[in-house]
Amino acid sequence: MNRERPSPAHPGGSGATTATPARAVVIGYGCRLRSDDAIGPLAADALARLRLPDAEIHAVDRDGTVLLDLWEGRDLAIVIDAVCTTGTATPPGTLHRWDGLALPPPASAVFPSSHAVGLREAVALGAALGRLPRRLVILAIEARTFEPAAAPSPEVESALGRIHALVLREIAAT
Amino acid sequence: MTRPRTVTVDLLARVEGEGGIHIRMEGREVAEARVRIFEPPRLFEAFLRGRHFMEVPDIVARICGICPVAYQMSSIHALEAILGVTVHPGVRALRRLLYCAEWIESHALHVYMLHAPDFLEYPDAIAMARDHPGVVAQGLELKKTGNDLMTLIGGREIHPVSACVGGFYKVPETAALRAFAARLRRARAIAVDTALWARALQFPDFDQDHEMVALRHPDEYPLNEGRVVSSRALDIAVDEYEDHFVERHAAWSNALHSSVRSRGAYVVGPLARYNLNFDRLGPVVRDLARECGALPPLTNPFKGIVVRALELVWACDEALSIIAAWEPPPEPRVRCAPRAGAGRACTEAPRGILFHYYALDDAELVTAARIVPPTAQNLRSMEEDLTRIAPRYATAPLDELARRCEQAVRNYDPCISCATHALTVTVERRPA
Repeated sequence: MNRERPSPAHPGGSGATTATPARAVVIGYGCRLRSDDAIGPLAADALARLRLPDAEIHAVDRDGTVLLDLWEGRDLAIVIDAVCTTGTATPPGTLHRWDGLALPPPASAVFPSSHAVGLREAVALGAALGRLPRRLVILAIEARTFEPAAAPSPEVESALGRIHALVLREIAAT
Repeated sequence: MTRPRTVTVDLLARVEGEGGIHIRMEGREVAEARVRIFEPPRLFEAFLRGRHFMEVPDIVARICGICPVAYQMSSIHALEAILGVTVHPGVRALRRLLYCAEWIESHALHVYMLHAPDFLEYPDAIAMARDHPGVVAQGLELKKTGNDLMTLIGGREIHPVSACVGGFYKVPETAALRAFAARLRRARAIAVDTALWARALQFPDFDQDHEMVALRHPDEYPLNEGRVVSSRALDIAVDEYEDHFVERHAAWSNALHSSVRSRGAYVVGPLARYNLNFDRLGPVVRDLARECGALPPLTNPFKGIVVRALELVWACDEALSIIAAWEPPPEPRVRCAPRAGAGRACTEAPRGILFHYYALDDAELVTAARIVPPTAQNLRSMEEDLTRIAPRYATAPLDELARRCEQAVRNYDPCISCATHALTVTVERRPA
């Protein structure tokens, strides 16, 4: 999950400036300067260019509390994030689909830093405050590295097409 | 005989950066209290050397995601002192407004998300939100107001990119600033509620005789300018800072420890600023302080949460005043003619004074840099507080003792990432 210092939020998509929020929001989450962590924002950039009807697209690379503002009241929120799953040897670029509302709660030592309100903490905070979407899908891409670099590794970047297809399928199912 | 006991808490949460607390107790006495800083050195001062002076504000902003404006402001003022730059009053006002945004963002984060759980006895803000959703929601709204004001002026909410030596690369649209006033009025109302809420918290009886150090300006509550003053009659120009404050290395810390030369530990930050500048807060905030029972001198570090709330009200008021009087400068920035030399500046980061020194050569390149962040200045006082607070919980369960020690450190809102340019808690108990 994102624990890196963020770079700027990047609103995009066809519905970003409409008075009535779109039913769906897609959020690419991660730091653009941390190699594979950039996959979320890069996916958001690509999706924003499609100008999807009835879906807002955002890239968020900071404080997870921003997510509450973006997904509150939506029928569907899709968060695209880079992850390192533990205990398995999952190849980089593997795409996981998780039900965000069924995530296990974070360990008790959350908020370890004032910069690290990550996705899981944001879900827990949203649950405590009643500020969650009706459906929350997390598309998690297995990362190879989070070392400082401006581009993700090739096998992670190759997941963009699959992310794209899955996002469209999720939106169509709303 | 008391059986020796050792407690290790793997992470001191709700501070920025990596560090820990180590306390060795012998009976009821503290034999050793250390704030261990193991975040690696970040070497910013070294890699600033050889960079063009215009690059400096954006490089040092990366030291901290919570107080990047402080780093930008201290560096800009120090460099402008070398270059002999005088900025337009509109630029000066906009810098203060940008700083207000940072104070609102940082103080709201600390009051609600980092410090309040200590007082309400929750492990974190998420657990607190389950029982106090309204309180946490207020904190998030305040913080978002600070973030959005930062974005409006600085282009983005963390590591803003508009401020530069000589002024701003770009100033915000006047209409957008005026429109933001409504948000600030709402934030101000929340901040007042916050102060009234904070006054009712339970504070341990823990008045300390720390020397307090802050900036003091002839007319204003200090942000960007002023003399360095203290509760023990220090009153110096910023250029004299290095004559009166020294840093030393402590083996257990990757952050240097600052002292007042020939005296020792001191405190910077909201409590010091407030005590030394109460008369600059304006009558409305002073009246609120009276209502909160928080008239200076406040010497209990645990009451920093009340002072941060009062400073939140002040920052909203100051931001509203700046916006009401806003006249954009004729040019966003003045061009700076190159000049070799050395310059110093202090500004008031949310956590206290932030000192910068730079030297430039004829080629406009940095030849030397020195940065003294507020957390490094507070480290010795944190350790003194630990020495005094731990004996009160000497017979308490170890988790209670550790929790109180963590809270005592969090009183200072430490930013270890800045200071290395905290925390694991270890408590050893040995028989007396």
